[in-house]
Amino acid sequence: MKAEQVVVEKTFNAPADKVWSAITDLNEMKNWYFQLENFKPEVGFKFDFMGGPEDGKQYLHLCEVTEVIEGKKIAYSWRYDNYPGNSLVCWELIGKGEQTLLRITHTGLESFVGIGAEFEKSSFNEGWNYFLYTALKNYLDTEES
Amino acid sequence: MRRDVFQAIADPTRREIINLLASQSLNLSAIADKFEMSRPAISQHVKILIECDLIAIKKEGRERYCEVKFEKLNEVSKWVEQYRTFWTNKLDALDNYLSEKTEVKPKTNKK
Repeated sequence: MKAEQVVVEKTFNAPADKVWSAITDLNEMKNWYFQLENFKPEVGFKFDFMGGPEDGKQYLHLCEVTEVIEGKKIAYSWRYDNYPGNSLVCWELIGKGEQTLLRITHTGLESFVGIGAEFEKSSFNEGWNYFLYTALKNYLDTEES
Repeated sequence: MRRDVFQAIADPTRREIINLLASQSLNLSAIADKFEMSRPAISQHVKILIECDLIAIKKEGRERYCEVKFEKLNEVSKWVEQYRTFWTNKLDALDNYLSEKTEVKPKTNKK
């Protein structure tokens, strides 16, 4: 077993600059990511947001931008207020003409010692899945019609 | 002191021990042989892994083997899977958003 990490990637039918602004422009991020008060793709920029299960405990997420390569890569730390541990979310864009591959690497998940157990207890899983599969999907479907 | 599966895997040596035992059950000296660390240090890590219920001791004759309790490890993968689900869904949401954004020009693409 290695350090716990998650890697997900997806290719979009959009050029890299469009994807870059969707993941770093505050007004665009609102449409699909989180409601942030402010966001700047600059090293040292700090932001936070609440997240968690629909009916359960909400966790204040604290993030700080650690690396930016304009148009290609952005990384920020990701931890929970009042809990130990810290992780890193890294976004990489690989342009392929009219298409763009986006790879998200979330490392350091093993450092959230014990939070996992608490999330389990508060049936975080169910709530989170509800948010992702039902609430978000409904929102997106409504948007489309 | 708390003992749970997440504490067990927070240490890199313990993760390596689990890795080692995932493919074969070994006795303590066989485990210690694989590491530069002293045997008492390894023994301490093994003790924590036993307390966290991630490995168990199985007696065979005079030998005592350590084996992984895979059902416990699943707790960890469930935890990590939550993040995988989360990010996968975010990528889907981003895909939807980008499609809408680029479909400003009317096209005869499928919906």
